[in-house]
Amino acid sequence: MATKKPKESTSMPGEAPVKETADSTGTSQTMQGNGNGHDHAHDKTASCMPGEKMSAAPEETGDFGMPGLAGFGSSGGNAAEAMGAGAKDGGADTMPGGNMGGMGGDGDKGAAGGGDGGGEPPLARRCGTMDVHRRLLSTVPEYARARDQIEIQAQRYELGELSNERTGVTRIPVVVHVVWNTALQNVSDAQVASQIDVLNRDFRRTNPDVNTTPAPFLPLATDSRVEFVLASTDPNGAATNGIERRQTSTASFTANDAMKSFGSGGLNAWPQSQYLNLWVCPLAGGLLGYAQFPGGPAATDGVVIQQSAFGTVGTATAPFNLGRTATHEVGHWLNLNHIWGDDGTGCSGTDNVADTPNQGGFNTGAPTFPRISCSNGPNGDMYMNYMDYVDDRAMVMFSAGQVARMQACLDGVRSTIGVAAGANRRSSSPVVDWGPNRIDAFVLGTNRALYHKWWNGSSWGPSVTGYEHMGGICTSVPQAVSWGANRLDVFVTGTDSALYHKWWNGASWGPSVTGYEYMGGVCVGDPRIVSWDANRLDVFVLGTNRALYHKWWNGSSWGPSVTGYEYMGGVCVGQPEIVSWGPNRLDVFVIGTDRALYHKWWDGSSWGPSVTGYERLGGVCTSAPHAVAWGPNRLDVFVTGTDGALYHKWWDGASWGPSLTGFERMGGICIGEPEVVSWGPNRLDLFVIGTDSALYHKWWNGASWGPSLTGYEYMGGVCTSQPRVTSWAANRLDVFVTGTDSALYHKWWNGSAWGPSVTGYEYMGGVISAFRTDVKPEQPAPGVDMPSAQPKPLPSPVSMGAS
Amino acid sequence: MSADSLAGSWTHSYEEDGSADVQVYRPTQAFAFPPGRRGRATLEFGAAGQMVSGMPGPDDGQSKTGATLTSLGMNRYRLDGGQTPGQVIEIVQSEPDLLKVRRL
Repeated sequence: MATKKPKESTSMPGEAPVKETADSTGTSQTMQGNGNGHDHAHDKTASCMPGEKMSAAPEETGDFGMPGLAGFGSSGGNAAEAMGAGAKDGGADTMPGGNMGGMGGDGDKGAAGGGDGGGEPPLARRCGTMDVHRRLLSTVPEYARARDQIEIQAQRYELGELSNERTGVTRIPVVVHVVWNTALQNVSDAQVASQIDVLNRDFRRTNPDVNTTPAPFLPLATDSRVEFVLASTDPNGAATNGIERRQTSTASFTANDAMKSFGSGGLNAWPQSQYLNLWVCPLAGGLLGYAQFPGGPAATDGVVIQQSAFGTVGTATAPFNLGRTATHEVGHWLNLNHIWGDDGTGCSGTDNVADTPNQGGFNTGAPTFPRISCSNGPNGDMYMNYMDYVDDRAMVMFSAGQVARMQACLDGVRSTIGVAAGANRRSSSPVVDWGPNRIDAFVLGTNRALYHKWWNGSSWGPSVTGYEHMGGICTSVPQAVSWGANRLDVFVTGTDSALYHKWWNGASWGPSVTGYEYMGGVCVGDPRIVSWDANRLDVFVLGTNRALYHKWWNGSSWGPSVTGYEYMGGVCVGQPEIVSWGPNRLDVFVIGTDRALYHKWWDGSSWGPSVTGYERLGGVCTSAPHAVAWGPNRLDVFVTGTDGALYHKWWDGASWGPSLTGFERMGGICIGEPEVVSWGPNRLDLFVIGTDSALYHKWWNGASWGPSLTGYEYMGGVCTSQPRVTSWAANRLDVFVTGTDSALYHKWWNGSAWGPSVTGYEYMGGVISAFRTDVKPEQPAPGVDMPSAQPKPLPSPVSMGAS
Repeated sequence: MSADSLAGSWTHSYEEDGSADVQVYRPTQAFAFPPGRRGRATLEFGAAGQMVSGMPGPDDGQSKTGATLTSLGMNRYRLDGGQTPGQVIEIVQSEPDLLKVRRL
């Protein structure tokens, strides 16, 4: 992060304790029945949530102020409002009352220090161009944003990020140029979406048919760590759906690139430095598609796909109707060669990849294992590889060597494309990471101002125990998300319960270090935000009627308006949880007044089961839902039950497990909210607080739960907040809690060991008033220790609660 | 027979090849080739004995080379230039929708 000059040293008022943050998870633990409150009559989709007064609900669409919205609605759009009174412009301070000791642990009590210094050079007006620049900045938002992007890009180079190996997932914007002659060839948006879905599954190794890989080759089937998303911003900075269309007089094209130029009946390429260009058109000669290797002319860079071999619906025709033509061609675009080495049927060619067997010629159709050539027995050809010539249903994998080659391409000639995407897109949190070895933590001080600290890869800023003052008087736990490298968006509610927003654009805080953008509403509890793409934000809040409300940033403007909200129905108890398992996908989980879990989703075109409807997923929950998506079309949801145990259910792409309304019991007696993160495909890490206020951990390693289905790893501490966890790389975890001294504490998993120790914590200073949805005072069965690594064999799956 | 009568783009319909040395070509645009990943060679005959030969490339596109046809009589032509200069081809059969070529 760019250096910030510490302002005046603000000494914080030792304010009297302010009334605690609205605990939206419901401190009242009044429960229906004794934990067995299933109403199977409601075990259908699209049910309204109990308690919902449909007649009182606003219309389903449109731009609504939220219930209870009073005088603030009219001031919408006034950015840079300081929140409430008393906002101060400070910075880089130790929080009031810091360093009070307390938490058991061998933490590193680093010395407090100033900020990480360094002034920024003053902007100088040099010529008329700057006048134009400034005028555009102030009057044309798109220009300002474009400048932001340029600055972000510059920062990324400066930080060396783009010259370093990409350790995470790269998400590549795609523009689909649909060039059609007959109406049938004008493939639908849904057909385009189906192709993007296939690319995401195939390149993330989440395609279900990867399991058909013959056993000797299965260990080589590898996640490419590349994802694709339809572009949301065009080369001019305007909003787009990533699809452009043109009717052409050309009946069918050949591989002469005519479809890539407007002058020859096609559509021009978008800049190769930013986009994967994908042309869909009629191709003559039975040609399914072709690509251009990296390093070629920009005007023709990309892949071309025959419309009848594109996606999985619409005009897609067997045996090339599973979207694998694009997988194959994008493999070329990322520098992969044909697996047989392009030497005809000889054995001397190479695909420049070591772990693919030497192979004679190409294979077609759907071969049976093994298929021997070039003395490559006993396992023979890797014909099920995407870079062979088999039918769509027969190609299911990239090898580890191929992935290394594609990643080398992304580090090299295609180094400018794509942004780092998290392994998953989870709900906002006070702790986020926008890239490898980067952490940003946001807390509230005793004066309820926002404070910030960050790990920049080598040290904590402004210091180990210091915090950057960010103004405001906040009434919610700060919620931050990052949609790209060196980008942060932070949301809080103010004393007027309205939503406020601030952002880091890579160079500076907007609207100012201590200022906030007013976003209207009267919110109950914490806002929740998720970003499914660069420059995309979806914000969910509860209104005073406890209905769900939604607003979004589409890259150019807020919908339905800066201060308006979309009404989404429901009567919710506790905080909503939102995750996104892929581009233009949202899954929202809430708890209803019957304490059952409810679900709704955005599939890219509409809300399911309806704008205001919810799918009932059963249970009697005593915590807010916590969900994570470790891969496309995968969801894992965790709640606590009336017995305090942790419960789990999951969506596997086809159905809910263990059943629509059932839950898997995972043991323990949990206090407060569980936390779940995923650092990679088929990996889950869960953290809960036990009745002894210590931290406990369990994990799913792809095959089984550790230490056992119902057991937990003891991690020490006396925690006064729910754990907040972020993962900036595979096999990396950073856990934050507050101690009995209200200071922040940190521990981490570096891939091989816990730091500073399994039960120790790093002291990070501060007196934090809101970092959490509070640990509830009501504690079930005091004195009952949480089982530690002692599996309790209980029938699973079971319904939640005692039966 | 003049090479000009072959004018247009022809694509290898390898499924119809009858023998190892005779290749069957069909009109690129008009013929309904079955879709397939395996690329197809093309022959484009232009004016004044010009011919462009397209071969499937490693990126599934085509690498093209031009040559000039010199008539040798008996429906045989020598390729001057291109990837295989000096090669002789024989037009075994030429119909509006069918071209059979033997490489000698």
